[in-house]
Amino acid sequence: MTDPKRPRDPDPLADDAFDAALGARLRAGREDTATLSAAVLSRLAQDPRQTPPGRWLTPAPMAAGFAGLMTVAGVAGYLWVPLFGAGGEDAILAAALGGLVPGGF
Amino acid sequence: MTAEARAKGASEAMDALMRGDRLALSRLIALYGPGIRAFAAHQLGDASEAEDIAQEVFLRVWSEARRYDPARGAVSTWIWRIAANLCTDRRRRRAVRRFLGLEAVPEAALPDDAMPGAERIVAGREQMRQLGPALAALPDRQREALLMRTAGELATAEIAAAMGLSPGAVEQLLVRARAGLRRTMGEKDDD
Repeated sequence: MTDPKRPRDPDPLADDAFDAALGARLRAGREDTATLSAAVLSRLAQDPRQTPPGRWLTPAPMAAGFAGLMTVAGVAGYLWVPLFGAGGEDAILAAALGGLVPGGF
Repeated sequence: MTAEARAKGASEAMDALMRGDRLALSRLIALYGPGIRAFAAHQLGDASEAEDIAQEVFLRVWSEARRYDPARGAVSTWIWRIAANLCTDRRRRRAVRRFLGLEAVPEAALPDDAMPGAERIVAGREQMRQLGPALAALPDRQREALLMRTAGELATAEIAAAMGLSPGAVEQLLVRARAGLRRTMGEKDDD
């Protein structure tokens, strides 16, 4: 004899029926795929190799782009300084020290 | 259509797609388009944005078809993972835009007006008015799992693979989601 106070195990059939009814409601009015298919094929016809621009505006690609630009700037800086010889380094040092002096120079 | 027949059809369409057959994309859209539309509409709460996401999913399927590896999962898993990731990205970007005041809160997702018969349209809209907020009230992961099961008709193992969870964890999410939805809809019926 079962204990009436004990909670009943969930009925899998009831869950399946619930899921089927909910799925039918959710998909109602969205079954026609002809317009979706036409829209996708039309966009493909315009440019088959296109990449949605929004894909590159997510945090990871933007961070990678920023890191890449910083690296390029750093490398360019190291390449640029020797072009002026020792005098170029002195000028940069003087400018850096000048920023520390009140009033600057 | 049975799950096996759909999986077989998807696998054949994917093979054709990898060979560059664009019409195969239409076959995949026929198989997964309605479910992904419904999923996106209730993940984003906006029918027009859902249409945009559905298009983006299948454009991504086309452009990355060569990267699909059957050994790593079923076609359905791969496509639904793309859909779930796109919805998550869109929700995050929209949250930032709303935080910055650049975007207003949209109206609830409604089915298209393409349904035949005015009564059916009204009935469908009324059902969705009740269902939309109830689904929106569920935690994100529970709603995602429930929508994949109901709108996408995915099996537990497919949902688990698409969400990167164990089948047991998915079952837990589904049980909680159903309970939450029944409770919310029951409260609405009592009003």
